[in-house]
Amino acid sequence: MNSLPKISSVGLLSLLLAAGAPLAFAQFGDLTKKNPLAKPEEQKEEKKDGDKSAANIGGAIGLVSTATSSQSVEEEIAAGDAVAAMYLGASPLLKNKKAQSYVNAVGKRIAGKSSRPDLPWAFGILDTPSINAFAAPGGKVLVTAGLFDLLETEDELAAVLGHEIAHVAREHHWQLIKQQKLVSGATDMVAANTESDNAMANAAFDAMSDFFKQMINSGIDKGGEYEADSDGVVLAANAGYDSTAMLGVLEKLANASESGDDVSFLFQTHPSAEDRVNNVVLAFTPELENAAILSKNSGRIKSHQSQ
Amino acid sequence: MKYLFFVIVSTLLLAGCGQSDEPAVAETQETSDANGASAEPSAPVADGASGDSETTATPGQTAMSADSPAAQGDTQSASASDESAESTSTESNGGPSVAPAATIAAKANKKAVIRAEASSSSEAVTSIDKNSDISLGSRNGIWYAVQSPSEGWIKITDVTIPSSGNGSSVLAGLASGRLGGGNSVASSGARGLDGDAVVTGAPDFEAVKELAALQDSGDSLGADFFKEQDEREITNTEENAN
Repeated sequence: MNSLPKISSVGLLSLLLAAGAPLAFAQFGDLTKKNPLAKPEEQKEEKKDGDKSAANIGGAIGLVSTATSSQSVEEEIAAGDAVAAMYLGASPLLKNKKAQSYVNAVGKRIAGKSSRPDLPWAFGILDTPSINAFAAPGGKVLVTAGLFDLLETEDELAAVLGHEIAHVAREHHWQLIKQQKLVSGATDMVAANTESDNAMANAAFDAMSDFFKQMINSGIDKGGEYEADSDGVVLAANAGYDSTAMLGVLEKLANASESGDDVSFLFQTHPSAEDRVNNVVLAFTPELENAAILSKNSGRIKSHQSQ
Repeated sequence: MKYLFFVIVSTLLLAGCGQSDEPAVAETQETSDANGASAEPSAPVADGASGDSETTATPGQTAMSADSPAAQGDTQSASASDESAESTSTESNGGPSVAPAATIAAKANKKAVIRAEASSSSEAVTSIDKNSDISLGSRNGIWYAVQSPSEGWIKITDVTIPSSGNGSSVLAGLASGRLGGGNSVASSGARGLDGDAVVTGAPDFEAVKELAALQDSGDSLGADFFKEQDEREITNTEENAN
């Protein structure tokens, strides 16, 4: 199951050192403020302008990301794969090709409206009745079957996926990994793709996974979640979906919580539904208000859900 | 004496006529659907209240309930708009109790206008100050139905939903649509997913490869899958804020 390839000894040493570093997880205020909607060429301009574009949505003002070179992206994807592997180790992919393809079609359309359309975006439904969704650096996005089935329209699915895509586009998790100086571990994982030494690979993963476990259980800061909500609404609207669908999702999450459905993990890592609604509505410009229209295909999600 | 006898007889006769006057008020405001045959389908069933609700959403009525076939044009009349709310109604003995629309307490986050309909061009019913208490019944797009201080509609951007502070969800009272649980596409034996399961489970890199292989799976749905779905070019809030 776990077949990580070989990792260099230098990289392993740095990983072990990194693992020994304090994993204080509270100071996430320096999250990179990339604009997930800006086209790649616009992002170069952002860098020139420095903090000008680093508005304080969610209260987190920080450094503008440095270049995302191809090497950096590879590292990000490798780290994301390790995070995704942890979720998938706990819950397998749903054996329903039709539903998986459907989620990928919708997800890819929305990701195409983001600032990072060229990432290898892949979307999967996890076979679990729990209600949640996850994003991993590099473009891996997971939605639980419990959440997928809770949704009433394709627009609501788009809202969920838009939120997760925004996390990736903003590099929320990747920035945390970089702050913990675990990039070298990701570098080694990239290199390990062409080699094979499972024992070392496992050791390296174990070193990184301590932080991943903490990140998975604690989530990112509230500001990052609010940011992903706001950005996700715009991304989904630009892909042709109802801008108010996220409100419907949050109402359903609140109701699911009251009904005793399994949303405890979700609310463990996210602000309350009320706080999220209050934040989302702040994003509503007249343009977004005009986009409060159900998409023409809103109902077709039902043919992919259980009846 | 004759007069007294006449009064007694006429009183008894009136009583035997089946409460001719007394129930009139009740029938106009509630359904006698349970009595079926006794209802007069040929009469203009829809009263004023339900007639209005055909054309414009009224407070407490969601878009879904407006389209709901449940009312079926029978004598559900005024209570039809409440069907999408929690239907705890327990009709009994021809005295149906109409479940009140679920409402949640909220506050105006600025000086705001309550409008007669869910439209910015609709007439203003009243204006309320910042921090005014309001009671919301449902949401329809960018509008919340207001139950008090006046019935009408208020924009979502004018409202703050408070947290309950006791772990329960205030927002749940507003939700509509079906709930999760019990009908998931998940396999019958699928386990729940919590933080512990993720942390203690062994990472599955083979499954990551399966996930990556799904990358282009959506293409199988065809080039026309998003036909007629218009794209937009809305800039994000950061840019709008600058």
